[in-house]
Amino acid sequence: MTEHPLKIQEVQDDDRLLRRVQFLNPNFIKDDGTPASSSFSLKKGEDGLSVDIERLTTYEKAIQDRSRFRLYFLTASFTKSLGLTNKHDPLRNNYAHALIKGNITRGIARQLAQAAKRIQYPD
Amino acid sequence: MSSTTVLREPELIYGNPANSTVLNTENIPLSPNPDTSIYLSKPHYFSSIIGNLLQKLDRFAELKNNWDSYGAKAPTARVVQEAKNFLIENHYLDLPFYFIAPGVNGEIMLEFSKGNKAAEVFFTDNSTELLLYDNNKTVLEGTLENDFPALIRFFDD
Repeated sequence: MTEHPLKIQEVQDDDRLLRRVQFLNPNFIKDDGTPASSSFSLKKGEDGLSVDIERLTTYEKAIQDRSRFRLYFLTASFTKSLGLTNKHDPLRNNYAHALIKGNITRGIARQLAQAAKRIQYPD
Repeated sequence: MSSTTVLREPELIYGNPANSTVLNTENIPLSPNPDTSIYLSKPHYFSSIIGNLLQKLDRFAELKNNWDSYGAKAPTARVVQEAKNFLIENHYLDLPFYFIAPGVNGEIMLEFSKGNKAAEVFFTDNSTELLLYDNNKTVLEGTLENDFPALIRFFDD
């Protein structure tokens, strides 16, 4: 796949949006397999939650460090159902980068975390 | 005849005997005087979940900025201590302690979970936040200071 580095793509409803979650020392994944809601919370001053569009990247690249992180995904349609918007936001070193934008309150972050599904990579 | 008496016998059995009080009673006969102020207290121990949460807090104190690879701020020692104090002071309460994690802005989040009900308490440098959830829907947003009784009642069924 070759894309112009500045070409903005529309995030489709069936796109899967990847987010890294730390799983070791300490573990941010609960016993029921869901990630901590802090994994889907906005930092102060942040204008969107950073994710990677699955079809524009690889798991190896998205996970960055497989010894520390595991990948979870949200469907673009789900984030839209919460009143959020998904915006492709390519970076110089990460064309797949996107932002989930909107009012991500504590409650919304919890719903995102509860809905996130684990990508079975690398195990 | 023994010339020493050890108070806090349970600690002698279960803990560090150096912490026990040892009296030289060679010349002092002991008697079961009901008016004595000396008593043996049963020591309190944390449950395994509380112990696990406290251990995790110690690890959070070692986190550096950007611990989540997305620029998260590491929790301060003060925030970690606030969370520890809460656990130590309230460990005996019949609350469904469940999980603990740092937040991306330097806070610590303590979660309670029981059935379809959950609660999240956030400890920050200068305040607390409390959220109650029923089936993942927010039913209360407040503070620990103002809404602690609500937290207790929420899980008291």
